[in-house]
Amino acid sequence: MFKPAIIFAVILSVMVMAVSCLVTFLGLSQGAKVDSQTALTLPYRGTVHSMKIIDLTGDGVNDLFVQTDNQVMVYDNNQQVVIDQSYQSPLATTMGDLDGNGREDILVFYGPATNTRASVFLNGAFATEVRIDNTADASRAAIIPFVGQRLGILGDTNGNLVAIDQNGQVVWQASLSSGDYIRGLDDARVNGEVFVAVANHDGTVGLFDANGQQRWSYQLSGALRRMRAFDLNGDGTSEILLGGDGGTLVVLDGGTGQPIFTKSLGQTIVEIREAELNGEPSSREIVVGGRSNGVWGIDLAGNILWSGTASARVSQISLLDVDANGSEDVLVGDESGKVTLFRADNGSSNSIQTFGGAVERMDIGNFTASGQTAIASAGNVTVLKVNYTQLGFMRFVPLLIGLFVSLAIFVAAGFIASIPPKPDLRISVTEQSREALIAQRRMLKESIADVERLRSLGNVTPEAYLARLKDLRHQLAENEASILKAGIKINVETRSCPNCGGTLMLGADKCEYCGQVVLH
Amino acid sequence: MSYAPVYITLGDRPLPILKKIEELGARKKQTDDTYNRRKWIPWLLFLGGIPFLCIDLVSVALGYPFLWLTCVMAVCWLAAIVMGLNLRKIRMADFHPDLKTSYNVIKTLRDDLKPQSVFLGHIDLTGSELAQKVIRENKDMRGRITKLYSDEWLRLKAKLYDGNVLRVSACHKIKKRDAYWGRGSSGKSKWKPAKSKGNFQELNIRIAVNPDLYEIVPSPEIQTGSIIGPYHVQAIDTNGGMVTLNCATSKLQNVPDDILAVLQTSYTLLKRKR
Repeated sequence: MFKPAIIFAVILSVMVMAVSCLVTFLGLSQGAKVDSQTALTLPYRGTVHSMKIIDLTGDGVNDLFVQTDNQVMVYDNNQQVVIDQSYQSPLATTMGDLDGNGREDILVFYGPATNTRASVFLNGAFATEVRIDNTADASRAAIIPFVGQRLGILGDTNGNLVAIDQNGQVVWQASLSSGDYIRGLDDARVNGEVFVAVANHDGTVGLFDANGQQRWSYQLSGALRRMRAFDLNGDGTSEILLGGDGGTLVVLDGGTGQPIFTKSLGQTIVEIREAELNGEPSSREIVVGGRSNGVWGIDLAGNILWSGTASARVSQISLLDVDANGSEDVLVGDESGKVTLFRADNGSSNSIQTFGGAVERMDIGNFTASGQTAIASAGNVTVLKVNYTQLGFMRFVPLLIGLFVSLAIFVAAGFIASIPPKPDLRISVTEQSREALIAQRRMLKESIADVERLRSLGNVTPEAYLARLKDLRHQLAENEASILKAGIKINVETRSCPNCGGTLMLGADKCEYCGQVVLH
Repeated sequence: MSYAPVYITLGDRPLPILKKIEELGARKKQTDDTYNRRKWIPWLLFLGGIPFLCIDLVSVALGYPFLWLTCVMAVCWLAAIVMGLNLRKIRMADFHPDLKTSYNVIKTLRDDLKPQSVFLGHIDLTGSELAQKVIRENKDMRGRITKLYSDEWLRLKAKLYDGNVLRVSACHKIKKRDAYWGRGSSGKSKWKPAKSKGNFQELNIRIAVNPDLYEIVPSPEIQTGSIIGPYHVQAIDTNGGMVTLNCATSKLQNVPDDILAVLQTSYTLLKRKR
């Protein structure tokens, strides 16, 4: 009743409409664009090792902290230099509330093994500087708000730790492992209590309490590149995230130091951040950047939510909710100087801006306006605003397109179904009466005899003989079938070759067309 | 010029045969009309897809990576290709003029057929230069192959009203040298195209004479060497109660009147008994 083209069109249209409804109602078609607008640029010298938009002067307005190889600078909201201090390298800095007054302070740990010093800035002004004995070169620093006391933790290049208070007095000293430098310091919580998670470049990871006692240790195989501590599931105990040259993301339970899961990503992990990717506020997700350009969104169960590729080795990852939908989109800066935004839900990417050198540091905050991104690259800190514009009506375009495509499919199907079939060019006008069939049989036998006569006279090539004979015998077989159908008794003289299907005269013991031996 | 390859097996009375040939012509006209009426639609659809691509390109230029409309363009183009291919399928070359010749011969002979009998044979217009139509093949000293094709495009056998049995065989014979790589005097290899070495139409008529009604007599109108229309009579055989006539012409375009004229003239060899 219905032509196959119409049935096919109905099936195809149903599929198209299903997909377009899915795309429309899942909001997969956003019709949005992401671009950036530069607000200001600020110069620096050397390479930026730390940068943060943070209120360091206590005036309630954020400042911009920049630490280079041997210099610490703080720009205020009016881009005026508030602090500009040079130090002997190596240099490590950190920010946090060291004196417990609710304002951010700066702790600077600098100098070679012979002269390591810690310098403290409180409320945006220099407070104190002390010499730190029995340490190797300065490597890392962190301010940890332990219960009862806030300490600055200093890590050197030989795996040693020194805890100092706001006056620069050494509270305790400890060692994680020797021979390699402290690569990570971060505050971690175990059942709400604050500890410091420490990682050495050699892969040793440990958790220390407020008294410098080590609670546990873990050995990562291969060199460690990044250690972060986050309470991803909100249970009061942090998860320790580790990544390194082994290319495996390891997530440890902060309380026990036992792995929760490991995930092999196939390339050296150079950056790890926690993020809210799926909009589910009860848990946080992980964003990982790789040395070979890979970017992954991973949930707490270790499942890869999405993956993407940056233009070069990932150098920085920051998080920004560009479309205010509750999920944090991922800004990735790479060594080619390109900053790319990966969308939180599916990892689709938009290029934001390309700078003249590698992206050294990146931070997001309210500097001169809200939601700004500061990017340090090629001697300048560029403060820009990432804009997200959405065309609301675009959301329903897939539905309209689905309807249009379905219409096109039906038009095409109707077009095809209404095309008249090409006439058969090989036709047989044969009367099915006894006389006609017998006469036709006689005629065919005459024709076969003619061909055989021509062959015996050498007036036909063997190929042409076989081709013509095959055709005539086929007609003879059809004639015999018609004769038998008409109820006329005849002696059947043909049969089909079981191998090639060609018609043979009864009695032939070998197929002339394919050479098959025919058994009777 | 290439023609639609038609092959009709004849085994019926004249009217159904004529009707079938007319039907074939009508069906071809219908498909030709459909093709001509609709051939612009796929092109229209193809061009109709371009604005969608342009809209997408403009939106990308404005910073909106919205490529859904390109899908519409792809569907339009896909539909245009599918429609175009389906339309091409029904496109047919014209029928060989010999189909019309055969039709007219059958139409003219329809009243001479013995009641209840049928025309037997075939109309084979599938092409002359086919492998199964090669009757001889020669290779010369230089390896060049010359083929002789015999294309029996009309074979007709009919029992006539007067009791005679008429057999007509129209054959197109072609002698052609295949294309080959030849070496010229400069020593360069050159592709030499196929070359026709001879091309003619042959008409064989055989009448098995009803001895109760006719006797065979010589006729001044038809002798070896006589010319009937475009045909030259090559041989006449009247032995064994049968008239066998072999004619040939270099005129390649057959006219039904020419074949019928030879048929009519061959009847001058028969004298009705009193």
